[in-house]
Amino acid sequence: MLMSKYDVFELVTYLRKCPDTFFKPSDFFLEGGIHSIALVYDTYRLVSNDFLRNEFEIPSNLGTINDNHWRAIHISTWLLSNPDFINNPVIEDKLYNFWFVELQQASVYVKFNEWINDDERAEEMVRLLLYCCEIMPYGENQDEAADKLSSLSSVERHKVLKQSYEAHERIMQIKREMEEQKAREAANTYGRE
Amino acid sequence: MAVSSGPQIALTDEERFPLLDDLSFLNALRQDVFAPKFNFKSGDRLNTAQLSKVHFHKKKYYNEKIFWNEEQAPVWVNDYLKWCLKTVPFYQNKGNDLDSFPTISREDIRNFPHLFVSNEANLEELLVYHTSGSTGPKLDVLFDAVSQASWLPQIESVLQDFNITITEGKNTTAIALICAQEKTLTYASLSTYLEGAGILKINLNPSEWNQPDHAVKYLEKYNPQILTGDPIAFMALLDLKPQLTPKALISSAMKLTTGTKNKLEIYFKCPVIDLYSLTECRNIGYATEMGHKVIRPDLYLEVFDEHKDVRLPYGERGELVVTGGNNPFLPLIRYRTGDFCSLKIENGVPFLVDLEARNPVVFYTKSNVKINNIDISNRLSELPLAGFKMHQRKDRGIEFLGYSNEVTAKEITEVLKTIFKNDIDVLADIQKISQNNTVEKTLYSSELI
Repeated sequence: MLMSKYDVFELVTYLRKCPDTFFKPSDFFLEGGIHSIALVYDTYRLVSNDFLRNEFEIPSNLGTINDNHWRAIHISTWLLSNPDFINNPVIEDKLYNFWFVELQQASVYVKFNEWINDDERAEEMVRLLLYCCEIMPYGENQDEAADKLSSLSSVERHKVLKQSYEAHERIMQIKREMEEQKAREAANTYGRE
Repeated sequence: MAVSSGPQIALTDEERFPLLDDLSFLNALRQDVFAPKFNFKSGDRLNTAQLSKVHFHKKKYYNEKIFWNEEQAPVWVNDYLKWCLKTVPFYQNKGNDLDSFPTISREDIRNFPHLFVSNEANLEELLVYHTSGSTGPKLDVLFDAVSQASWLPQIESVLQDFNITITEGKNTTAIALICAQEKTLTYASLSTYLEGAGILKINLNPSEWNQPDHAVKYLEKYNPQILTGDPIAFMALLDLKPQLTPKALISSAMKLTTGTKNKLEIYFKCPVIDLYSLTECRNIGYATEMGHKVIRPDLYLEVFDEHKDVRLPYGERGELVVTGGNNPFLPLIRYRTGDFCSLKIENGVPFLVDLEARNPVVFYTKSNVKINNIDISNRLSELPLAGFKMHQRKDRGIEFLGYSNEVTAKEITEVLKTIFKNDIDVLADIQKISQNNTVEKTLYSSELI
């Protein structure tokens, strides 16, 4: 059966078949770990279909990338090995933002193995990659795609939870203050109401 | 430790008056030989930033002469609405424009006072006023020192219409709030906004004074520029025949009848101003021959159907609904006041026509002819009644309780019989006004509704 290009369901299925070897730590953290730079470069080459190039965009501060983030990048290179992304040079210059900005932010809230083990996180990675590459998921329009990513986004979810937590904290604080102030003198009253 | 029901004295004078160095006048007011047995302490709590905000509000109250017109709501409403939607939890997801915004009620504020606090409000500035609930269940109103002190410039803008100004300075008593109740908080204080002028809240109840004649002697000695209170308290004061020369009397909280107003004006030889104000947003307007003239350019007023969320056209009578104010702890959007009137705009200034406090009630003659309570108010207004309550029983009999030292039950019965076309039974009682009254604000009630 012919696969639809950029079908989210099919890409999620592909991602979840990610071999265990991609879960290994980066060689920045473990001797004998995955050679992260080589993996990133190979993926660049695969996507750009330019196997002779040796220079690709990577951050200057690689040492600040943490283990969980590196492993998320490793897993995402598996996703990028899907035929939908191979030999697709227009997305090459989008990958830096995906790997080193968006995935970095999401990794703060997502443990690396959840990208595979958790349906929603797998879909989040797929949608995040498509969004960064400016690719519309199959059968969706811009609004639908944005809504679905927003509802899955770990960063958004954390923001909402944080806001909700802060709102709750604020209300508790107001209630405490109210009780305290009710029992104390307030300020001059000048007339009857 | 037993929990006290009322607020406790909890501050130092430095905290009450952060900007006033000289508190000698305060001490004189507190320690005077004729002073009452003050049972509380209070200050205006204004710091430099807050005081400048009060002055900013003053400019607004004085300078804005055109509030809005019938065709267009005030320009500030849109920004105010956006600010509320963004920062006030209660209003989030309620609507995007005022036209489609639902009304809110006293119930909402009573149940969720904390949700009305703007996220931008500094909780260190929170103050709480616990209302007595004289017109309904008790209510916690949240506010700050700025919205509270703004009472003064609001009143100054009213007094300006009478060519009256309040003299500032530390050797004059600017305001005395007169009460004639069984019990209330009493204190001597100062106003930072009025450069240290004295503020008094006193209760005429003889048990609050060391000697029976001290209330008069104390008031005469400090001769407050402005007396505030309700009609009952003013009539109780009149009864004491004090030799005072106030610049104005400001009556609020209860309906001021023309009869009472005339008596007070004749005795005190100054204007008696009938002020309409609510705890939820402070002063709104004062009575003129055209209706209550609105004094607050920072409030937008509409009239709504009593039962449905339908805005009524100008000139049509309904429930007064308020949007705006300067209280970050209780910003109002379409707040139902529970009071009824129609709106009229004259040269950009709104007037509340035939304003009646709270529940409008229809009464019936024995043969079922409807009598509107506005007609009753208008007729009774001619009598020197400081206040009254009127109730219709199921058998259509009228029970009337009035507060006056002059009007007799017979006179009241005659007036009511005339209003009810001589087709009613009336049981009238008149209570003399004393220096310690227990009076409910509710005017009208009926078992026939």
